[in-house]
Amino acid sequence: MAALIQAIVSGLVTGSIYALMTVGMTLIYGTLRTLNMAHGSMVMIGGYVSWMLFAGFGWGPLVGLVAASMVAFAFGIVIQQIAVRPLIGRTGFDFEMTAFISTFAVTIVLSNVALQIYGARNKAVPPVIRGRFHLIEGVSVSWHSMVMAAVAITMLVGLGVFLSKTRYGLAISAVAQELDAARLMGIPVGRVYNLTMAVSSALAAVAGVLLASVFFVSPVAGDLPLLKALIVAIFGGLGSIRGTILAAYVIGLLESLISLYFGVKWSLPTLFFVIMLVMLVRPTGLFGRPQEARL
Amino acid sequence: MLEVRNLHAGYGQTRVLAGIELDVQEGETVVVIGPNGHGKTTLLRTISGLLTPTAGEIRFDGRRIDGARAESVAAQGLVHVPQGDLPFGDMTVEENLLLGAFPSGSWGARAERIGRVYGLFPMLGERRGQRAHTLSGGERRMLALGRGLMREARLLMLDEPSLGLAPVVVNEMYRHIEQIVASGITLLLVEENFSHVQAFDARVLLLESGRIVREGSVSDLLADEIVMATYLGT
Repeated sequence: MAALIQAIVSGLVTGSIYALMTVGMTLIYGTLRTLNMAHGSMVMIGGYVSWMLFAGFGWGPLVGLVAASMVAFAFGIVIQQIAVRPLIGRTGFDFEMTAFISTFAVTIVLSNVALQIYGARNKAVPPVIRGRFHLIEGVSVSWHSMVMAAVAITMLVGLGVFLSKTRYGLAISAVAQELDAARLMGIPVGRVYNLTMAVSSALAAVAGVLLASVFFVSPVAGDLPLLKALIVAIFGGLGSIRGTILAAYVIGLLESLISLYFGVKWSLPTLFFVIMLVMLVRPTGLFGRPQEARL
Repeated sequence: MLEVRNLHAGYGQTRVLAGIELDVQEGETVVVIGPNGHGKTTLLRTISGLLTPTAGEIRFDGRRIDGARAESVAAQGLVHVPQGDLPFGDMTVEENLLLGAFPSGSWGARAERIGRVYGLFPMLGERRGQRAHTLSGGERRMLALGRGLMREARLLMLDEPSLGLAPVVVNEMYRHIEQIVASGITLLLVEENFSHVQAFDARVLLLESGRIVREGSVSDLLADEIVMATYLGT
């Protein structure tokens, strides 16, 4: 029983971090209608920023959270300007596919730049708070996991408020739902695309800082998060934020339950099996609606 | 206020507008009528910048706007209520209206303006928390119009406000439009059906095959036998 509760608790923590990692991808798909394959690199960059602040100044991950989100915010704008924007509105080829490829190219470049600068060796970052928190007899959670879940949920709530209450947040949803109408309202679409990429990248970098204390930071630190984010995003229904968050928790719980009952080695194969099943049975995902506004 | 000279536009290889000449003076109501598929919607989409003209000039307040982006044309005070209404379906009525006040000049006055729109369309006030895709056709049309009125319109362009609505609802829409006209707004209205605009003190242009073929007051056109034969079948 304690093992089951332990698995559920860690599934919820994992789910929160998956939601944080994926929601930006969803946001970008909603507005730009393409998968941002550079999203995982923002997780990596978040990790390196956190490590540099720790190794260079001895500052902990809390400073890293702020710094990494600012760095990734800027990266998001640059990537949208150089890898996405030049492809928008070009006739004769499929934007979704070309932007998918160009952002994937960005990932390859960033990983190799990281390899050049930092080398292949893993870097370690300490947790935000050390120690474990004893929930009940036989069930304990690391304080760092609690911080991860708390930060992730806070960021997600903040994103929700931003999207529904602020001028530019509403503009992001407007561009996602009805582009022509958004332009007729005087909404500067290019600036909204920049903002979407910037905010999404910052969220991924925050996830990267939190994950850096659990795993190590390396040039390939963004690869697995990208894969997980793709699985979650497709499962949730591309472009649906509610679907993404729900899917993140379902996948997180599924993973930890499979690890508990069948062993860790089965978790990724099972996820692939589940996602294949979803594609066959419900290709639009949990909340996806084909050819419709989704945010 | 709006000057359109020798305007050509189309979609890909298909030419739709073939040399439109059009002027709208400040405070005036201009109605463009014509059969479906002859370029009325394309004309409005080209003026507002959703479509780039292939040739010709458009001036708004003396400034060239042909080829400018729709978002910058909109920010200059040209309000286009498009065909199909294009509501933000997953957002509430209130959020839709707030977005109508997006340009920086209007955003500060959004609370006051939303009150005015709710005064004009009490139905929108009652449904402020409802998602736009749940509205009926007539309600959606009013939302689109209300959203257009959320910012200071130097020129209001309406694309077939009667399209697809039940006759009773059409009459209600036109009562609202008359109210808006009475407030002194400059209006460019496009309609297929001549009957709705007869009560207007308007200059009427007839658009056929991408050209303006007749121009006159409502009574001029009513007296024109060819026009009557074409549009009213008498």
